[in-house]
Amino acid sequence: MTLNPVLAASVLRRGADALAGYTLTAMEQERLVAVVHQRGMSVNCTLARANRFAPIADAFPLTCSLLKPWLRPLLDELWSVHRPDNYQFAGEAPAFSWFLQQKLSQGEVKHPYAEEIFRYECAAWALIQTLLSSAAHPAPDRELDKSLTVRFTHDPHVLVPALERDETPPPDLPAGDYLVRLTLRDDVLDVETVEVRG
Amino acid sequence: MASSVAECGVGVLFNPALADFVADHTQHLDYLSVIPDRFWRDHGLGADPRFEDTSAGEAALARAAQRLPIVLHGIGLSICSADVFDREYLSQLERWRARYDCQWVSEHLSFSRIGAGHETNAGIALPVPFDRSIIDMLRPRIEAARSILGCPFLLENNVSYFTFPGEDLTEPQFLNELARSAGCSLLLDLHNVYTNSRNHGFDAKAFLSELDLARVGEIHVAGGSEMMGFYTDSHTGAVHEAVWELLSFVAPRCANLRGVTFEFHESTWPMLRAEGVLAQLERARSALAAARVA
Repeated sequence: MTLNPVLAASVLRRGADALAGYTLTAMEQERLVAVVHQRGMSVNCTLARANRFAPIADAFPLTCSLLKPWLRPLLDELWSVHRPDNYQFAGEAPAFSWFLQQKLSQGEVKHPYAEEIFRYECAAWALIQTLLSSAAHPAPDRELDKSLTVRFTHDPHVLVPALERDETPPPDLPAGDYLVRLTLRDDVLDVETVEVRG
Repeated sequence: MASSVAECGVGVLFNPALADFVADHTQHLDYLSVIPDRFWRDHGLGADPRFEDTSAGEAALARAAQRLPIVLHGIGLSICSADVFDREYLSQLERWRARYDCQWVSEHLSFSRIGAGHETNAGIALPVPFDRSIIDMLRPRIEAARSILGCPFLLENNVSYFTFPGEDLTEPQFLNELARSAGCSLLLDLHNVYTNSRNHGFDAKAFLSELDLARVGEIHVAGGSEMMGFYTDSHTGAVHEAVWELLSFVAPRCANLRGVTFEFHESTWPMLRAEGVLAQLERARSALAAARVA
């Protein structure tokens, strides 16, 4: 119930009947019904969701900021099918990335800047993962790929700083074609525009 | 390391924000408590390989280990899961215990993993009812842990935001009986006691007076924060003043205490900085010094 608010709500509404699919003793059923009626259960669920969201927000902070009004239903949908298998929620960022990619490509998430910001953060995240992986499994004879390019359709030097300041970017940024190179230098992400077509 | 309260040390629970602090302020620490799970990826029961090193952070840990004793504080055993007792995880803990020659290993008296293959992880330490049947389930598991680890095995009292009706025992009775019958020690998390006392309205000192404090091998101190009308064990910044008071109350009574560990969440490092962490360590040391006199 901590991870499944739908089940918790069902137990709250229907009592032990909602637990009929589980192999539980009468005492266990009674206790779970009692627990779900306590306000602390909401705290428990909120803490679990916050912990689960943390690695997603860590990997895709600007995407989450941009999609703030749609984030909760998106996470509810994702988490209704995806179960965490790790105490530190290591699989949550990849699952969110895959899920949002589907939503964007199917046109179910529509925002003028969402695709490019998400592409940008996916690239940054991939570089960081490569760095972490190479640190954990050093291969001296292998050149580390420390650069990736991302295409923006709006000026990244306006869009990204606004989101970094947690501000809503201007809704009418002129469209263009910007090729941006992300490079990891001494653990710092360096961003430079390498090509602009107005 | 220390073997009695007279020699008890002061440590900090390692997090990534502390990498430089540990190197710069070794002289203020008697040991370093480490969550080993931070340094590996667990691919789940039966996977081959089950555990994969993931982080470059172990280099910092290895450097710290050259200058400080390391103790392990696991978060992944889920010893109270009814379905499976995870010996693979214990073996991994033992490999790390041997790697850093740890004098004790602790875990949480809770569960986070559910399902026959532990395929779902709640990522939060969930409580179990204080029933005799839970003690019966845990006793052989704790004995196995002690045997595999070959060092003192401590279990930490949990924080819980709800209570179970109809329990056989109170929490102190449960902890006393478990520790006595399974031969384990306790990691007494005073912030968990304080958090529970605030949210459930009981007297923390009365709780501690009921506890067999001779079983306590390590104490955790921390801070928390308010959320949704509850006080939470968020490990925010400095130790809560009431927790220092509880430490002063129990320290003279914990005859076998070996360490007092300050824990905080790395996101709250800006609230503390090095000066803040040093102040917490100094305060813990003062409480222990006063306990020796008492």
